[in-house]
Amino acid sequence: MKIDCTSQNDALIARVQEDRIDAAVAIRFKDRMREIVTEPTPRVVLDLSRVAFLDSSGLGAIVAVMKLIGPDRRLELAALTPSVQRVFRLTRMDQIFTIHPEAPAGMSHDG
Amino acid sequence: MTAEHPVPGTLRLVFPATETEVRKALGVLTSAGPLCDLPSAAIETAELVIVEVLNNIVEHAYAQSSGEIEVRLGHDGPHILVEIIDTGQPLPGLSLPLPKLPDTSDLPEGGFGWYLIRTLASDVTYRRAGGRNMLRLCLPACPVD
Repeated sequence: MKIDCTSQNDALIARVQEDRIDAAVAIRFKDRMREIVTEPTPRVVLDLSRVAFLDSSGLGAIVAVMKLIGPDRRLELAALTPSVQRVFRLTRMDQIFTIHPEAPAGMSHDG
Repeated sequence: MTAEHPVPGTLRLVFPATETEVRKALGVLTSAGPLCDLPSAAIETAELVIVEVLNNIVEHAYAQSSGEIEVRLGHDGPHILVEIIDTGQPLPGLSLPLPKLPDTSDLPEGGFGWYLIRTLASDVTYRRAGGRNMLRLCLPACPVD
């Protein structure tokens, strides 16, 4: 599971470099995120701009990461593709997460 | 994995019930047969519904054993008919689970699958016969929300 990680001000930016978070990679996603979030930044932003497909296993894995980083830090999501956004909306989990329309400035894949 | 087109407009796919094979099967199912010509939003809906059914089969029906899954797709006017067959354990109570959305404030990590299936598909029926689970459902051939 390839997830690139950078720090920016008070935030850790984790950019998922895969086009699917599904049952086949949900555990690897959680394991990789567990390594990434050991750095104690107040915010963790998960850039999902490359993820075209998320199933309920992937959704569950993202919720698990939110719990993992503890009550003092929130997991924020950024740049959801329409298909992924729809899964969050249908399950009403869009009400649980702070969702940014775009990846943090200066952190885009091309920039 | 074997893919067949027994009659035009239909697709039959048989594959081992593992998470990796499910991912490969989705690739075949969305790029051939009745789904491939649909609008992209309808394909996304179909892919999500089918993957939720398949994940349930891998995780629950074949929790204690291994086996195969068979998926059949066909056209029916404005709908795509989907039939998914496995020889794993039957659904508890031999009936479809209630499509209840978990309480989001509890930060649930699962329990969304049947809700997504029942929300996005119509005419979902389940039958157990001859040691086989047979799930049938209809998907819209046009994008819906």
